Amino acid sequence: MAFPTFTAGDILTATDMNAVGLWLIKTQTVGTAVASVAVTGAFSSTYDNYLITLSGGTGSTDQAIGLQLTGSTTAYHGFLNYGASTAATALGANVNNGTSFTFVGGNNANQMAHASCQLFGPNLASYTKCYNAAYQNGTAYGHFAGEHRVATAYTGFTLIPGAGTLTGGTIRVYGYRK
Amino acid sequence: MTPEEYKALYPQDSVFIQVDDTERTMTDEEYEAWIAEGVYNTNHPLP
Repeated sequence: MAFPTFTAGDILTATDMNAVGLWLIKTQTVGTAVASVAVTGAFSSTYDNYLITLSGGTGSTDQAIGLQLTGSTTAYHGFLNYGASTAATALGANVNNGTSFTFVGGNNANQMAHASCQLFGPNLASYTKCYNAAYQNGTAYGHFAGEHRVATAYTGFTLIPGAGTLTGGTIRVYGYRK
Repeated sequence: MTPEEYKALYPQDSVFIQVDDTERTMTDEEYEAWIAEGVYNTNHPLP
C-alpha cells in the first residue's frame, strides 16, 4: 500500500502508521478572561520538534501573544519582521534577553486570537528554537524567529497575551515524528 | 492609559491564571505586575 493515499477497507500497517509525520499530543481549552494559559505535559523525549496552535477564542484588546517555557522567565532572544496592513513599509523589532518569545500570535480587539509557532528541541538539554511564529497586534502582522538560550529540557509552556485577556479557543500541541 | 483605568477594565477578581483545566485569581503581587506590564504594552505599541 502506498501512503498517503488509502481506499476504504485498507488495513493500516505499521509501515503506513510509522510514516505519519504529525501527531496531536495535547488539546487544551482556554478559559474565560485568562491572563495566561499554562499547558503542562506537552513536551517529551518522544518528539524533538513541535507545532503549537491557538485558535477559536477571542482577545479582549489589540495584543500580541507570547510563549514562555515553563519555569524560565529570561534568556529569550529573537527578531520580528512585521508591518501594518495600511502601509507598504517593512518594520522590525528585537527581543534581547526577553521574558518570552513575545510575538507568536495576537489578535484584533474582541476578534479571534491565534498563536502559531514551531518549537525545535524544547525537551532537549539545548537551546530551544522558535520558528515560523505568526505575529499580529491589531492591524500589524509579521513573523518571528528566535531562541531561548538556556540548555535545559522543558515539558510545558505558557501563552501570555501582552495586554488584556483571552477567552475561549483551543490550544493544540502537535509533535513531528522523529 | 493609566494603571487605574486598566484596573477598572480588568478588576482583580475578573482575570484568571490558568494551568491546564484549573483557573485561579491572581495574588496582589501578581496582579500589580500584570497591570504594569499591560499598561506598558498598551502605551508602547510597536512603531
